[in-house]
Amino acid sequence: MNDPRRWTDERGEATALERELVGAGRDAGPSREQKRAMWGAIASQAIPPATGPGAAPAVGAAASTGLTAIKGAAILVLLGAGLVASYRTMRGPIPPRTQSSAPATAPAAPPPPDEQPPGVSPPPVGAPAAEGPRSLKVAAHSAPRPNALAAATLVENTRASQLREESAMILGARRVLRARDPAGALTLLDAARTRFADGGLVQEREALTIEALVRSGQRALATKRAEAFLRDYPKSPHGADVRSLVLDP
Amino acid sequence: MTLEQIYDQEADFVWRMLRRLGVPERDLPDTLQEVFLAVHRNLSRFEWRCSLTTWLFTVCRSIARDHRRHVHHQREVQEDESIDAQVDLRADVHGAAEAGERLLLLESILGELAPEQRNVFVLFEIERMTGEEASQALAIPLGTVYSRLALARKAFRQALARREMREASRALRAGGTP
Repeated sequence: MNDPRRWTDERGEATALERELVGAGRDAGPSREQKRAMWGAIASQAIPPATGPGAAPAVGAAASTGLTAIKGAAILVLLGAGLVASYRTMRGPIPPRTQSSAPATAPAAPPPPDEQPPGVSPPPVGAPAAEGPRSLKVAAHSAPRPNALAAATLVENTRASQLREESAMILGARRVLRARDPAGALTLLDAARTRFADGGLVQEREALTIEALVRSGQRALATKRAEAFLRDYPKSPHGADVRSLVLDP
Repeated sequence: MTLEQIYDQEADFVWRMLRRLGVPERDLPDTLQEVFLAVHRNLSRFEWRCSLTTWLFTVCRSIARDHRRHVHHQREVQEDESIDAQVDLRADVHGAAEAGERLLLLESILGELAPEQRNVFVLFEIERMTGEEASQALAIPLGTVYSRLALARKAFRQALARREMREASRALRAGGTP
């Protein structure tokens, strides 16, 4: 049985307006910035962290409870400081992420049946959750070379790594907030603010801070920060959320 | 295929599906992350007996249902309900950051369709799944996909025509030209 021709195909039956409408439905999606930040958070949990002495646990796993999340953030700050120091000195290679390390996430329970359509075989009980490192594209950092290209690559890798850490911290704070621990979330957000003063996710961090302030009852401070946020980022995609938080919590 | 490649290729699809499966915009980053971590956990066991988008849809449905349960706490979801009865691919985009005029109109029209027709229309026409993929995703026979699609197209066209007529009448009443 052949599928009918789609409405919006070249010789499909849709009118111009119908094509436009269907196209609008297909174009909806996250912004590039959101997409990048979300990948950073996913990779921080799916890609094993650097191994060796002082390696930190994955933030996503650590952020499952407020207290653990705070500890995780503190470790991240230390790890991040180490990374920045490595980058600044440029005297040696940033330790590569090895593929032989344990998965960042704890061994997962068997997925719910819904995740297993005909194409997925059931996992053996007690088996490792996934062969994550093998299936992931891991950017191995090489030693800086004395040319501009190598330096640029190193800078780009470091930026990506920092963005990943920053998004992991903010998503950790968001989870803590969703777990009804606004004070814990504020602590994490403060840590993120200290660590990434000029980070790439300032708006997300600030919007979440405002929400955490509202949830913790610090309404006056939340309103003040919301006003500053709306003034500083008048076109922010979070503007509507921020406004509704202080006007109608 | 690596997780990163799947993410690059399908993140938009997953985003839209989660949105349509009732996940509010503010929770999308977290739930999308959960979907891809579930994909990561199961990727090595995925045997490609169905398409990637069909599988992703199934994962999205499961995660979105968990999210609804979490949000509504003890609200019961009938496990023996058919998939088609559980899934309603109507996105409430009012007030959403991504909403444009056309998207609002589309969703409004989709809202006038019967849910079973809307689901087929969304997967086949908007997400460009094949009939077979839509059939697997919604767990309905292929023939049913086709018949619902035909009905959905007709209903979509009628809903759009009714809307245009209403706007023309409104313009006339206001003294303008239709």
